[in-house]
Amino acid sequence: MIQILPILQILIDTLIRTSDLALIALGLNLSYGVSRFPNVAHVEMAPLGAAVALAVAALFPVGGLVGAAIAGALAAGLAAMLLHRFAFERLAGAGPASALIGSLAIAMMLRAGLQAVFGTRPQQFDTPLIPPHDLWGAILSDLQIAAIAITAVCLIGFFAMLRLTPLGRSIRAIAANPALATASGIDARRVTLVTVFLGGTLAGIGGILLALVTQLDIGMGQMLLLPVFAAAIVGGLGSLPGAVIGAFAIALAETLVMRIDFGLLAADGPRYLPLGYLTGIGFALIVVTLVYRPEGLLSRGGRRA
Amino acid sequence: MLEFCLHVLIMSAIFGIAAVSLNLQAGTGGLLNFGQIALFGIGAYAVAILTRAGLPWPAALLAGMAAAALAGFAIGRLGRDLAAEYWALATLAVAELVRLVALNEDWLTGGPQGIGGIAVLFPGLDGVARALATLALAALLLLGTALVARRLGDTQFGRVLRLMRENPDLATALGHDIVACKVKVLAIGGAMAGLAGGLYTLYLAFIGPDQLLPFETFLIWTMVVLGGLGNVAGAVVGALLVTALYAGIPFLKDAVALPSDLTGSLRVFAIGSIVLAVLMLKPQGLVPERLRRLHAQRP
Amino acid sequence: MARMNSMTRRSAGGALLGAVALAMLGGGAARAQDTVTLGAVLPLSGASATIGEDQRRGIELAVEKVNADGGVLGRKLAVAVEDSGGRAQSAIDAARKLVSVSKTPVVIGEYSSGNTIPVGQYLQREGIVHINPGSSSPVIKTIGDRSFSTIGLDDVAGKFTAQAVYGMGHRKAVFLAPNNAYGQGVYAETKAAFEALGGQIVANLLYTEGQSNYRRELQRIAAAKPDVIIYSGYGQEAATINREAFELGLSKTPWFGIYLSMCTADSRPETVEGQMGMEVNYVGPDGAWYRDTYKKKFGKEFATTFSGYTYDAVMMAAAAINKAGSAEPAKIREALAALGDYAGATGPIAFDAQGQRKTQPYIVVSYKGGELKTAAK
Repeated sequence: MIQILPILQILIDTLIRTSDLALIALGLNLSYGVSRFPNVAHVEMAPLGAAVALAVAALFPVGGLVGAAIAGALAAGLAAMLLHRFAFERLAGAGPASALIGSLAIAMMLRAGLQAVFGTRPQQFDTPLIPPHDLWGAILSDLQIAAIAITAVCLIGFFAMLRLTPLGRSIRAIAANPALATASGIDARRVTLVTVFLGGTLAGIGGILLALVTQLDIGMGQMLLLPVFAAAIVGGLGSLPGAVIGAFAIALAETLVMRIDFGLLAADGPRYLPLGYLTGIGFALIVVTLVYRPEGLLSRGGRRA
Repeated sequence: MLEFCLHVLIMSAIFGIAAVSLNLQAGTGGLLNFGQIALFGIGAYAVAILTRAGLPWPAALLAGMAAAALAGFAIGRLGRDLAAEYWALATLAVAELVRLVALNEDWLTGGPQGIGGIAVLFPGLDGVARALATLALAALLLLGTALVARRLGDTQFGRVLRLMRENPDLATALGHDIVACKVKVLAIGGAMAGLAGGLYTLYLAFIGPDQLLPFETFLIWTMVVLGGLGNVAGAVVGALLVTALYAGIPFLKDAVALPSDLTGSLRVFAIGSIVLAVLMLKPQGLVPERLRRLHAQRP
Repeated sequence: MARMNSMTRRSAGGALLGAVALAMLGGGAARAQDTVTLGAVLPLSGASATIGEDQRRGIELAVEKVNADGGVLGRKLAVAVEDSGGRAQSAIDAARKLVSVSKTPVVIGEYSSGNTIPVGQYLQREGIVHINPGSSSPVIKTIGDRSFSTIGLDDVAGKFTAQAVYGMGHRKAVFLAPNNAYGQGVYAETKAAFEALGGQIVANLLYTEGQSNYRRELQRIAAAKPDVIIYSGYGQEAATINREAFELGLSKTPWFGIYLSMCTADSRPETVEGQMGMEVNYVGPDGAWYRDTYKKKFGKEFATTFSGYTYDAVMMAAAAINKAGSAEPAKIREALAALGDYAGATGPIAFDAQGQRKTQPYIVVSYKGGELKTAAK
C-alpha cells in the first residue's frame, strides 16, 4: 500500500538519512577492524568535529567555512587517535568488555566537556536560508544536496585510497589478519593509529555536515549511537562497504515503513505507524538481520575490510 | 545522613542482584547481554502493575521473576548461533523495543509518566526503622542470589558455561547442547534481574520507561566490569562502588566552589573520569576472576 | 608494563572511597546558622539540560531578589541545587540528599513528570514541602497535600490553546509535539478541549526528540491538509522543525505554538515569522519586568519558558516562610496553602484545594519582526 507517486521523495529522504549515518558508520567499522571492540566514544567524534568547526568559524573567519570544516575534521581524527593511543591500547588488552566500558566513560567525559565549553543550547552555522528546489514534487534544499554530494565524494575518495594506495593495502591487511600483516613487515601499531585517525576524521566530517544542515546539539552523539551501530551491524561489523550499505538499509527501512498507510486496509482514513516507534525500526531490522543472516549483508565473519 | 547512607546501601543491594545476574550471563557464560535492563524492567513493571491490581508484593515479586525468566528464555532462543558481539547488539535492539512499548502503550504501562504511587514496603515502620528493614530484605535476597550464582559456577553446569565462553566449538564437539545452556543461563539470569527490578519498584514506589534506556544497561555493565567480570564478589563490589559513586559525587561539588552553571557537566565528568581511572589502573576489574588474573600476569 | 602490587591497588581503591566519604561528611556538616536553605532538583545534565539550566537561572534571580529584600526570617536565603541528570533514580538520590543531609524543608523540582512524580511522592512521605515548577501532567494532582505547582497543568494550557485556535476560525488541526510526558499530556488536554468546542484534530504527531530531520512528520502534516498546525517543542528541535517546514513550504499554513517563546528560542527568525501562539504572560504589560530582569542578568532572551516558574516557586516559598514565621515544613505547607493570590512573574498564582495553580493567565502572541508581540484581540 505504499504510494507509488512519491518514489522520488522516498529516494531523496533515504539518501539524506543515509548521508547522516554513512560516514560515521564507516568510521566505526574502520576503527573496529583494527581495535576489535565496540567503541561507544566514536560517535562523540561527530559533535566534537562540529564543535571545533563552529569555534574556528567564529574565531578565525579567515579560512571560511571550508577551513573551519577541515580544522574540525582533523581535530576529531586527532582526538580519536590520542584516545586510542593513551586509553584504548591499554584497555583493549583486558578484553572488549573493559574497552567498551572505558569508551563509555570517555564518551561521558567528552559530552560533559562539550557542555561545559559550549553550554546547553544548540549552535548553528551561519548559512544562508535559501528556498529549496522542487524536483517533480520532491523537495530538496541546497544544503542537503551539498551534504549528500560531500558524503559521496568522501566515500569515493576513501575507497579509492583503500584500493589504490599502499596505506590502504596495509589497512586491509591489518584488518584481515594482523599476525600475517606484521610478519610481512607492516608496522601494525602505526597503521592502527592512522586507521583510527581516519575513522575519527570521517566521523568528524559526518558531524559537521549534520550540524550544517540542522545544528550542533551536544546530544548529537547520543542520538547517533544506536542508528550508527545498527547500520554497522546490518552491513556487517568490520565491513567497510557494509557500513555504507547498512546505513542505506536503515534509512530505507525507516522511510518506507513510516509511509505505509495501514488505513487503506481498514478504509477509515489514514492510519500510520505511530512515530514513537520510528527508532524501533532500525532495531527490528537488526534483530531480523541477525536472526537470518548473522554476518550482516556483506561481511564474511566480520573480518573483511 | 544515616538515612542517606542506608539508601545507598539498599540501592547497592538491589543493583547488586542485577549485577550478579549479568555477571552470570556475561562473565561466566560469555553472553554479552546488552538488554539486561529489559529483563530488570519487565520484573519492575510486572510488580508495579500487579501490586496496583491488588496482588500482595511477595506474589507480585515472584510473578515478575517468572515474567523476566520467560523473557530471558525467549532471548536465549533468539539467534542461537550468533557470534558474541552480534548477539550483544540484538539484545540491545530487543531492549529498545521493550522500552518503546513501555513508552507508547500507556493503557498498560502508564506511558512516559510511568506507574507511581505504589504501596511502600513495611508501611508500619517509619524512617530509619523502615530503611533498615528494607535493607535487610534486599541484602538477604542479594545473598541468596549470590549463593545461587556461586553454586552454579561451581557445578558442572558452570564449567560447561565457561567452556562455552572460551571455546564454543569444543563444547559442542564434546557433546554439550550449547543452545540449551544458553537458554538456561538466560532464564536464570532473567529471573534474578526481574527480582532486582521488582525490588526497585517496591523500594522507590515508582517505575518509568526512562529506567529502560540503554544507559541503564551500560550502568550495570560498568558495575560488573569495574568489579571484575566473572567473579560474583566482584559484581557485588562493583555495584556498591558505582552506586556510591553516583550518589556521592554531588557532595564533591559542595566541597569545591564552582560556578553553578557547571554543576551538571562537572558531575558527569567526575563520574566518567573516576570510572576510567579505575579501569586504567585495574583493567581486569577490582576483584578479577581467578582464571583471568592468571592471564593478566603473563608478559 | 610495571606491575603494581595488590597493596597499592587496594589502597588506591580505598583512597578513592575515602575521598568521597570525606566529602559526604563535609557536606553533612551543619549549614551556617545564618542562612535558610531550600532545595531544588533540576536536570542540569542530560537531554533536558537546556531547560534545567534555564530553571536554575530562575532560582538564581529569585534568591538575589529575596536577599535584596531582606531575606527570610531575618536570615539569608540559599537554594541548594542538585542535578537529577534527567534520570528518576538520580533525581530521587538528589532529593534524599537534600532531605536527609541538607535538611531542606522545601524541595523544588523537577521538569519531566517521570521524575517529578517519584520525587514528589518521596517528599510527601517524608513530610517535606514539594513545589513542582515544570511538569504539567494531571497526574501531579495525585501526589499529595504537601505538593504544589506553580506551573499550570496541561488541562489549563490545553483549554486556553483550544479556545484560542477555535477563536481564530480554525476547525481542522494537526498536533505536533515531542513524544514524552509533556507532549502527550498537552496533546490529550488540547484535543479534549478542541473537540468539545467542535473542532477536529485529524493527525497527532508525537515525534522522537533529537532527530536530525523531521521530514517524515512534516510530510504527514502536509498530507493531512490542516487549517492550522498546533505545535510545541524545545528550542533545539523546534529550530530544525521550523526550518524544514519553511523549506517545505509548510510555513504558509498557520502555525500555533504552545509556549511560543520556547518554540522559537533557537529558530531562525525568517522561519517563524508570522507564527501565532500562546505564552505565559511575560510579554504583556504585567510580566515585562521579569523578562527585563532576566535579559539584564543573562544577556539574552529566555532560552525556555520555564525559568519564571522556578522563580515564582522560590519567591512563594520565601513568602510562606516569612508568613509562617518558621522554617518547619508543616508550617510552611500551611502558609503556602493559605497564601491566597500571589503576584508572580508568571502572573497571579492561587492554589486550588489540590495545591495546583487555579488559573494561569496565558496570552496569545505572535512572532513579528524577530520578536514576540502580544497579539491584537
